[in-house]
Amino acid sequence: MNLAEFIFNNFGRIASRTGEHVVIALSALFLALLVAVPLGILLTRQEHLAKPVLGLGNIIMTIPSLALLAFMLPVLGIGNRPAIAALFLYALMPIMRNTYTGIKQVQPSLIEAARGMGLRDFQILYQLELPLAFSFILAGIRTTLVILIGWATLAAFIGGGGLGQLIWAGLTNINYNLILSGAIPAAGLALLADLLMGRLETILTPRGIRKTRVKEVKHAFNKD
Amino acid sequence: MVSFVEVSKTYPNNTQAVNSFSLTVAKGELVVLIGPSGCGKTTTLKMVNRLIQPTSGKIFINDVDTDAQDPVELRRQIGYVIQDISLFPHQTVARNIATVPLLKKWPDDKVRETVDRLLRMVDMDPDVFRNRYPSELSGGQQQRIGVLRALAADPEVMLMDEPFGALDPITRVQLQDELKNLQQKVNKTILFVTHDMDEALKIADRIVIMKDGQIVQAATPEDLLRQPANDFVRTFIGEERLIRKPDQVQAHEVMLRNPACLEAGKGLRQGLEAMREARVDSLLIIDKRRQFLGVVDVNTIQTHLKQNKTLQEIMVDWPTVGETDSVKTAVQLMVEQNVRFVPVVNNSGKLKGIITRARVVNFVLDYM
Repeated sequence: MNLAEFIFNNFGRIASRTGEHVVIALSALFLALLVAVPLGILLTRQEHLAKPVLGLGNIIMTIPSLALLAFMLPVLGIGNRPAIAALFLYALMPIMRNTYTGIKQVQPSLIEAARGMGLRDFQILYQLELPLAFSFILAGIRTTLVILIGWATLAAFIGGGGLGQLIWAGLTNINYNLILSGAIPAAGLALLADLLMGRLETILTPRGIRKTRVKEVKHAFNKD
Repeated sequence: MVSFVEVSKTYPNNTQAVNSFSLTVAKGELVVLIGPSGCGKTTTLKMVNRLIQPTSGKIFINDVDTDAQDPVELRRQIGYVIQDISLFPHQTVARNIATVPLLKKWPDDKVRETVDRLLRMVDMDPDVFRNRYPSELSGGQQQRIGVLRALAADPEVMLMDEPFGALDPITRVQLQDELKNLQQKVNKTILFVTHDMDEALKIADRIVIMKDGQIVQAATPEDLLRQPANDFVRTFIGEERLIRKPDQVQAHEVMLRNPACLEAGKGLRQGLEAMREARVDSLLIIDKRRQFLGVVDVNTIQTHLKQNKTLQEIMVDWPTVGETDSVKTAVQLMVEQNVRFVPVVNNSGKLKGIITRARVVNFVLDYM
């Protein structure tokens, strides 16, 4: 039986594993956003916390993913919950760091002008800092999502389902069709996520700050 | 309108930025704060809208103590322009200008009217510029919008912190002119910080010279130039700007630096061409080492054009002045010898420039 036939015959199974896979990755991402973006903003306000917190995040990133998943087992049992929890921890760091740097790169003169005109702190945050940090935050989300989709294949090891289950089953039975029917959709999902997030970035970035570098060069020759 | 009473600011590291600063700015007056960096001029400005809190002393706007007001409400009543291009890059020109009106929750149509009216005031067509982004404007246009943004909610007081410092010289002068015009139209009380004396002299109703957090002299530009209070003010203004008599001013300060000249060995046709290019009717003739030799005028060239001569053969002698001679000497020479211009040469006879009648008239006007 060739791969195409295999996929055709097992389409329902592959589809439901893909669904599980997407649920794991997106839940982890969503939860991480809820925590990491406010945390990143907080760090810009409490500068002395930035170093220790970002350091801690870096330490979490160095724990091998399989080990982290194993740690979650005794706490949260088996199923997709421990998998989501572990991936959530991985997702925190890049999103938090990008939120932090994104806000930090906003020119101090803009913030001073805003404050001088009578914007309150929260108005400066949501009218100025967040929109200008947006592309940074989105870039963080983009890489994170791609990583999460890759690592979600490991969820199968702790009974979390997803495309990893097909790969795992294929490996134990030395069934290449099975392995590929898990691996190909997983790779496809990662590419698709990257593509969609890229599109989203272009659509959501205001015209004024798109490709600013090109415009700066152009204007250097264009003074009145 | 705005009065400072014994205002001081000491920073936590014990540097005293402003020391017992007292000043009253009248309604509609444009006061320029100027001084070397670190003199406390920017700190003084930022204490008005409470971006910096004074350590002691009071600042009143319309007799109201600024300390008694909510700083955010206070700032919304004061226009604020800073040096760095500080337009919000993710917002359109219209949205930028509307910043304070929107904070004050003006109705939409009033905001729209205000934006259009302001844009027209600086000759920027609202239909063209309304929806542009700051990155799509030139530096000068951006800072015009910066000024309009500060004007939008019609504040009585404007604070401007080196607003034109980052612009190229030509644009800077344009914007200074526009600010002056604008000031006459809208009659705002303006506090303006700069370190550029030319700018201060040009726009100020009154100039406040600061040093080490204190006022050294506060006077109109005219009085400042005529009666500098001390040597610090004198050097700060610059000797060349102080008002002097014509016999104190040297020829090289007034001369045009690149007069039309040509080497003596060139032919007549070349001479004619050089005149046409420079749009002049006389050429200064020099040798290979730029030593001044004489003058050829267009009529002489025309008369001899058919003959195969060099410029040297038809040139005439001409009186000159030295570069350190006074302007008075140059003018006397022009009157006595009945010439329209005199070349300026250095000690060794090298051509340095030219003083023309128009140049003298401009000079006199400048110093009147």
